[in-house]
Amino acid sequence: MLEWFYLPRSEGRLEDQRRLAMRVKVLLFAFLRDRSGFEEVMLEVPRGTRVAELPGKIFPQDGLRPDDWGRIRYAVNLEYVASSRGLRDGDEVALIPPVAGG
Amino acid sequence: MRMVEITEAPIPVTRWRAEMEDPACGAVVTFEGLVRDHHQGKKVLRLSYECYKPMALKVLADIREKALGRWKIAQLLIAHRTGEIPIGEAAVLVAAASAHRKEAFEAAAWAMDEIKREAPIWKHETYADGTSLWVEDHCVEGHSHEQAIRA
Repeated sequence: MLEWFYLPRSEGRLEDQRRLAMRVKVLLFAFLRDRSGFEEVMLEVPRGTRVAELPGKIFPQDGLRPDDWGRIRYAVNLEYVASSRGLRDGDEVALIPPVAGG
Repeated sequence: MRMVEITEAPIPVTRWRAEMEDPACGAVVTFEGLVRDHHQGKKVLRLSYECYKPMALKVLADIREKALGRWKIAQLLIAHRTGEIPIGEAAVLVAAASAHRKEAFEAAAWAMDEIKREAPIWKHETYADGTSLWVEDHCVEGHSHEQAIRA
């Protein structure tokens, strides 16, 4: 399932906002996918956005409990990254809930 | 054959075991993680794994490389099955071969712990009482069907 989310339009011309935005693909797994209803989301985010800001753009404010939020790990382009990692245009980001392989 | 694998089909344990044979190795340790019929006192009806396959393959390959660098082992193979797995069948296989047993035991045990910690793989269990949840190793993210539908 593919869903497009757009940031609410604020100040400025549409072209400026487009120029300053990046597009990232976000993948959701396990309980995060169940909660959101999406397995893949394309997001348009402002430059400077960090990976840890993504759940807040996908889930409504009360959609994730603080302890759920704290347990999410992030991967960008198949590598685990720190939650402070800045996004780049075209990144594929995975929100990784606690794993349970084996 | 690939040294790490993720497959929806049953893991061909004997074929993987045959890959480990090496005249220089006096020890082969194989670990199979099997699907159990109970979890925290509840009867498990169904169990399935999902994974982020491109990343999981990369993580498993990294674990293998690290084990080969850290212990004197000749070979280490990892296979993980995904999708629905019947009770009693193997979900994961780790096999290590070395000249002497200590290295193979240690490397296999370490690799298994790393898989549980790092591989982006998730386990979903459905119980006889109608509930289901995404299993976590230590704490559990649980929700009944009703909550899952509402979420």
